[in-house]
Amino acid sequence: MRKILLGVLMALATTASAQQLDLSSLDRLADKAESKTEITLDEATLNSTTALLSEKKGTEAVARKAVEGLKGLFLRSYEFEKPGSFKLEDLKPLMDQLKAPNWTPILRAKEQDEQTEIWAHRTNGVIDGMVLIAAEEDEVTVINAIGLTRIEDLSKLRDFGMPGIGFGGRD
Amino acid sequence: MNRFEHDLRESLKRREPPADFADMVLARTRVSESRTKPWHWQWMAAAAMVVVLVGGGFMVQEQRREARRQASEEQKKEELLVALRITGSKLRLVQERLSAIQQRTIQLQVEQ
Repeated sequence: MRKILLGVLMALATTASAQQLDLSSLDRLADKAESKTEITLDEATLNSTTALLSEKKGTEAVARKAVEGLKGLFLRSYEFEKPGSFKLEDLKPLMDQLKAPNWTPILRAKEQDEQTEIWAHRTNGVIDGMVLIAAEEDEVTVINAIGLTRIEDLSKLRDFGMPGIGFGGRD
Repeated sequence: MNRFEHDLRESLKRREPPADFADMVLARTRVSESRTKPWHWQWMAAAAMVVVLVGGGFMVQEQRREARRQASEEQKKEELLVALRITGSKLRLVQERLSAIQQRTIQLQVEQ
C-alpha cells in the first residue's frame, strides 16, 4: 500500500514538475546580455501574493484575474548589444526538453534569425502549462506559464500593463 | 510690683490644658501620619506606571511589527504587479512579431 501511495505521489510530482522547464541553460546567456529580466514566481509565491491582492481595487483586481489558475510563472529575457552574441543553437537544451511526449507545439514561426514558438503541456489530454519562446539575433525571451489551460489565458497576461489595464499605480 | 511685672506673671502663669487636649493631639497625629506616609498609594502609582510603560512598549512594538508586515505585503504586491507588467509587455512584443510575420506571409502569397 505504501509503495502504491509513494508511486502515486512520485507520478504527481513528476507531472507537476514536467510543466516547469529547466531554464538554467539560459544562465550562460545572462552573462553575455546587455540587459536581462528574470522573473521567478513559483506556486507558493503566487498563492501567498495573490491572496494579498484586493478584489475591488482596480489594478489589483485585474492582476488577480490575470493570474487566476496560474501555478507558476518563469520569465527570462535577455537583450544583447551586438547581434550574433546569441545563436538559436543556444536554445537547444531548452528545446530538447520540449521533445517530451506531453509537450505539443501550438505555434512555430521561424524566419532567418528569428524564431517564435508556443508550446502547450498536456496532462491526460488537458493543457496545464505553456511555454513561449521568442528569439532573434539580439534578444531572446522565454516565458514558462504553469497552470494555464487555454491560449486565451495568455492574453489576460498580455493585456496586463497596457494603458488602462493594470497600469495604474495604487488605485 | 508694678503693672508690667503683673502682666508678665499673668502671661507665664501655668494653665491646665482642656480635658480633651490629649485626644485632640492624638487625632491630629493620626491625620498627620496618614498624610505623610501614603505608602500604598505610592506603590500603586509605581505599579500603574510600570503597567503603562510596559503596555505602551508592547503597543509601540506591535504597531512597528504591523507597519513592517504591511510594508512587506505592499512590496510583495508591487513586485507581482511589476512582474505581470513585464510579462505583459513581452507577450505584446511577441504578438507584434507574429503579426509582422503573418503580414509578410500574406504579402508573399499575394505577390506569388
